[in-house]
Amino acid sequence: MVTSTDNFFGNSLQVHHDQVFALSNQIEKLKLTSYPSIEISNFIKELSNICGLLLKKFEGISSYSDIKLYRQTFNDLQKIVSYISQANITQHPMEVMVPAKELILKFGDETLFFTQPLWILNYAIGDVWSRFSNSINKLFPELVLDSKKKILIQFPIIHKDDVLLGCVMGHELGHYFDLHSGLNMSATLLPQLLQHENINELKNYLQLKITNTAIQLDSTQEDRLKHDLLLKILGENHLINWLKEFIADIAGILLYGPASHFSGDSIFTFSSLSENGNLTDAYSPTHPRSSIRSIVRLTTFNKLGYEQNFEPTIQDTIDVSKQKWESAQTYDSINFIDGNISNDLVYRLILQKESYRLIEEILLDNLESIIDFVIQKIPDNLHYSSITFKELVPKLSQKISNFIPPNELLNKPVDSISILNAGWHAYISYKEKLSDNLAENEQDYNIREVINNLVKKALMSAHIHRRWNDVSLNKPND
Amino acid sequence: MMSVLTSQMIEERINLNEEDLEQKLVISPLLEKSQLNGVSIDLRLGTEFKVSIPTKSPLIGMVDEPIEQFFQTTFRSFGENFILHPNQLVLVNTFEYIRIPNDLVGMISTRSSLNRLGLNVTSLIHPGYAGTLTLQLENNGINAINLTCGMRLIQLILFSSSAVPQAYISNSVSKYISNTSPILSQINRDSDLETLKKFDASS
Repeated sequence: MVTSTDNFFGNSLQVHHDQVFALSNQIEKLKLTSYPSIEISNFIKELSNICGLLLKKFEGISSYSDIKLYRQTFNDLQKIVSYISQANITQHPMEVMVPAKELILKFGDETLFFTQPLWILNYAIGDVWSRFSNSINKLFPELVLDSKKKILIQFPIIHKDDVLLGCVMGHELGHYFDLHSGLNMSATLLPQLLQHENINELKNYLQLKITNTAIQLDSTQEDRLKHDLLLKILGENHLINWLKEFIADIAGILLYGPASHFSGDSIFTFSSLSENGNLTDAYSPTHPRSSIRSIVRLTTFNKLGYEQNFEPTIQDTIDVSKQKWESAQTYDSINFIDGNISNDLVYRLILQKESYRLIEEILLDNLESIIDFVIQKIPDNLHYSSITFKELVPKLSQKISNFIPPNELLNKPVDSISILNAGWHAYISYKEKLSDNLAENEQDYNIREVINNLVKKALMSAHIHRRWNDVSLNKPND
Repeated sequence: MMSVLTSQMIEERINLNEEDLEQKLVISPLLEKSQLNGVSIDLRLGTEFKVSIPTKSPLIGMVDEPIEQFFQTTFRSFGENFILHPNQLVLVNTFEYIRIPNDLVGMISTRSSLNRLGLNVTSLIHPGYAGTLTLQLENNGINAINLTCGMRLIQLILFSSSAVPQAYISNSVSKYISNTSPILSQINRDSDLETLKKFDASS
């Protein structure tokens, strides 16, 4: 006899089956689209297989707890499908990804990158696969999943064809190397930062309230507790988050050279300009103030020996950026981090101008050693050197000024990072010259677009040229 | 008097220093020196295609609708195949970026072995032109043609001429500036059209 409960169970199962079936249909449609690499097509096939198995599960589940378990898998799968649905070739920033992929390959990682365009001014990089694939392995042990890392890069769609702004990818790769490559730089550096003397001063901004009347703390115990709580709070919030950004900024310069600085500075300026022409700055739980990040980038330049290698026009542009961030006005704000330890105690860290300053100081006092650490951890063959910049970039930039893509010198392909830097160099140094070469009725043709097109062409040409040379060298003897 | 440049003369022009930009011929990148061939230089098939597609609009050409709507962009990797179907119009660029000095004129034509498959491309390259070349591919045969991105597709023949006083890039009739993608027809931007619109058909 079928009870009403049984009916409801059958109905619930059917509802879930229908949802998975609908997702399965959408995945099948994604298979018909072109992607920037065959690996993405294979990944979609893998997602399709998972969906197929999930569909079968919903034909034979016997408990509500199982429905809930597989529904969560469905939700996670749908999220990944939503990311990949926009990774097709027409929305993919092909040229922006060329240098990034080359660096990852040099590092020796086998990683599948796929991109998702966003209609907001935000870049992000993250592993969307590890946790999901682990749970899938447990649910469907019969399924053999591709072990390659799957990294999602989100980027502003308006930057798809602006390869100069796309140099922010240097910073994003910094996050990749820190968090997803096994280098674990921020996690390694954090204990050193937490030994800073400012931790003691920050105790003045941490309030405790014991809610369990049975507990009494003397001043030594309270001091110890505050110390431990601060290590936990800072290690989970502002300090670690800001450290990650410091590392990514440093790595950005190390991997992409000054192009990383110029692209980052453009984006920060765009989002910080006030009515009176000054820049405004703000404290955020996830990112350090832009004015502090300016110091990080300039100190990194210094450490890498760039300062002696910039031509006056480039140095002037960097100096203007430095000055505008030095005079940026920071919004004062008060924020709190609240928490509790069981039912025994509640705490509150007050974040205001002075306590923010103390946290920033922990990072700035360690800046030199953080830079040294990043330089030492990221393999030498990935570093972009100030000497290469000085030797190649002005010559390549000169090519751009003559409407020639900067992909080669003396018939030899040049590296992608020099090409990107040449784009910025030309944008700073030759805007007027390029403009003078266009007829009056074509002045609306954006010089920026001309440079971007030449740089994009150069990135692809040099990449293919290098591969051509590699393949030709490895030709078997007839 | 116009005369054809031999491969040796082409090579000399390519090898000029950047300081001699007025005279220098840029063809970049040249993957194989063997692309220089007698009196021509072979150019390769690029990777971005604009494929003509049917639309709701009945006409293409001197119409108000943007020409973009009549084409769909697609990409292939270097070494990947592209199938050109009979009677299909496809725009593609050359892999090489060209910059022609003001005293040279270029003519392109399909390599004869591809002509024999039913593919025919010819075009004139103006002095001072800078950019990849947009090629209009059309399959005149009855069988689909399989092309490979990066294959040698056309040959460029260069003629010396008197120097044109103004480069194409800064020429007031220029419609294609330093392009690096296949560029669709800009026929609607012809300045004559404005004059023609003022003509009263009945008079």
